[in-house]
Amino acid sequence: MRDAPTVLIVDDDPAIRQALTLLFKSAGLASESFASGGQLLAADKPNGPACVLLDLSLPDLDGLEVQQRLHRETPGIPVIFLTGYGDVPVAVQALKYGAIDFFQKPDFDRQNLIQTIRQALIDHQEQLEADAAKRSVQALVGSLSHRELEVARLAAAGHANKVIGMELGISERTVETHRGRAMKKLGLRRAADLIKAEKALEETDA
Amino acid sequence: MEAHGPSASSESEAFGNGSVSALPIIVAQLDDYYRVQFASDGHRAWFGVDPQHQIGRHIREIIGTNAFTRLENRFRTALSGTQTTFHGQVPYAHCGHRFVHSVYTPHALGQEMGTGVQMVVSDLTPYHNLRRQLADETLRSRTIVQHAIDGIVTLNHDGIIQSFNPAAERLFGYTANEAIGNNIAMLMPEPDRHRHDDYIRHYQRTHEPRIIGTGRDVTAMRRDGNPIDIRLAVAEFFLGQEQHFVGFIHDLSSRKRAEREALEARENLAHANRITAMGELAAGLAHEISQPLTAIQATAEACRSMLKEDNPDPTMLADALEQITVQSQRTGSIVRELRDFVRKGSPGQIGRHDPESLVNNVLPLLSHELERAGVRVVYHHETPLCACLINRIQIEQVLVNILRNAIEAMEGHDGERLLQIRSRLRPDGQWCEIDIDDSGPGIPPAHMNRLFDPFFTTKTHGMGQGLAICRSIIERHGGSLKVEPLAMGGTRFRILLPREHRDAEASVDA
Repeated sequence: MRDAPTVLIVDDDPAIRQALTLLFKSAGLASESFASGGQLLAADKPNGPACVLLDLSLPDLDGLEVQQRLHRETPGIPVIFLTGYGDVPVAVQALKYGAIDFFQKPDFDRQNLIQTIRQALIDHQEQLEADAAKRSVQALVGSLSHRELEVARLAAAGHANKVIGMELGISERTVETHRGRAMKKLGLRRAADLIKAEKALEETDA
Repeated sequence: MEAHGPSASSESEAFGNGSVSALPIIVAQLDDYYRVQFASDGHRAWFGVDPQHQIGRHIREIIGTNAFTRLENRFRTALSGTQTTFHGQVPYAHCGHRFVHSVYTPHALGQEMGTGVQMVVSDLTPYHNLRRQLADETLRSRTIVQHAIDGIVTLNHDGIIQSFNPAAERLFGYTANEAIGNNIAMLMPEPDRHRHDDYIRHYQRTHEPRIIGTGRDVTAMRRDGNPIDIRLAVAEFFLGQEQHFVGFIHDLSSRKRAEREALEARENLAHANRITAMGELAAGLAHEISQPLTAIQATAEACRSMLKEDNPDPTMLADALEQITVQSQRTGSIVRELRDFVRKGSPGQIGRHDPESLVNNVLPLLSHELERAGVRVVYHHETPLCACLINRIQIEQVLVNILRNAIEAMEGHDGERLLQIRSRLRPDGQWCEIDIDDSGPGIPPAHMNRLFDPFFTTKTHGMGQGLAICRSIIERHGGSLKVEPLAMGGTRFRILLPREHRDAEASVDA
């Protein structure tokens, strides 16, 4: 259940929490709500894709601080701000810190908000999948031989077999063999998957 | 002496020099050549010459040529058989000017000596001087009274007007002739008009002064029936045994007008301050209103989506609509609070209020600012509640001003941001006390003294009117506004307002 896409609402005003919960429910989106930044930070986050809808002026921590701590503690969760009048300079700051968007109370476009949240949830979903792929590559990379890792890294960087052979002083055919073996060990099927795994390969010691 | 017949002599003796000399008069008898036949002892005092030595001398030698020239006609008239008098000032030989009353009477000196003149001269100089002083004094007093700016009215012991000066005529619109002889009560509105005779009798009975000796501001009534504010001072005096009163009446209408204008100016300033404060509160209030509007719009949007579904859940829709109602009421109440706050408090809007309800009225206006500054509020109020007779709008304005100052003092201050409000009835039972304590950095001692000065401010924006207005509002309510540093850091503002005593009733005084 916590794998379903979830909107995390943070607002100190119960009326706003209640209204947004109903709005998202009517749009088919699951949501959880929190009365303060502290509550959000302390809560277990859903496993699935999520999006935080954060009120900029909160009683305990201000929205920017919540955003940054969230960023440190649970990287990758997209943040959308709800702001009051006069908060625009702070909202701009929030965008610089990586917020996806901000909406001004009271008369923001609700459909636009829902659309933005859906997109953020999709993006987060993809991000989560990519992270998962990366983690699986990282888990398997230890099983590669030194030469296989060398070949795989160069291939992931987009080099052709011929170039890799010249680089390593081995034949193109040998490159082909090492590459095939590395792909198999890492559970990758397509060349594109290997390119996606480039970062994971670089960051990992053989 | 030849000319001195025995009969004349004995007749002269009849004056009895002893008794005549005791009077402030001199008596002399002259023959038809104006020679002295008899001179009373008074001559010694007047002329420094023994009366016996004047016998036989011409009267001119004694009284001097000047006086003789002035009086010669009278002597002649008397010699011709008609009594005559002189009343006036003459220069007597060595005695300077004398104011005298003289009677010159024909006087038979005896058969062979014919008719002479008897002169009786009263020296009225001391009386005359006294009368002139009196006349001068009267003139001086009358001039003062006639030209005084203040009305001056005298009354007899029954309160009947005896005099009425021109200033009083101008003040009240009656001429002196119209006023004199009437009871002073004609210048008073009810209820004093009917009670004034009693006031006077009360004083005559008890000698307990209520207005005598002290000035008092009262309302009088003009001839046209309009009231007039005056300051009245009354003094008592006696003419013989008879008691009289004098009233001094100072027109206060221009001062009252100035006071009214000053009051209006203060009201306007206070109103402007409320507008400014409202401007400053606007950001917070915009947020306050924005919250329920956001909820309303989101809920309405949700309703619209639900209605598009095949089987909308009626319970959910009803709940949503209820929520919309609740939130729009919330918006309405915020607007109402704002309107109440900014509405011009007229001086007449005095009501019975307790500090607790006032604090509770203003805290919602400040909730956003409190939240934004991260300030925690603790409000203690002691029972029983005490009520004050106050202009609610104005006192709430004072509270908003002071609370906002406290919030600003704590904004950006490290450490705890705690706003403590306490209201209670002081143990003396006379005063309602409201303390507002902040935990900010405190006010620098150099600023303490100037805190309530108009135009003193440490803020980059703002006119520095806030606390000056607060103090004037509280003082107009008979209270006080004080500031003191707190031992633990931070500042305390203490408002004292007089507690309402329902039994207190002004007594009517003379």
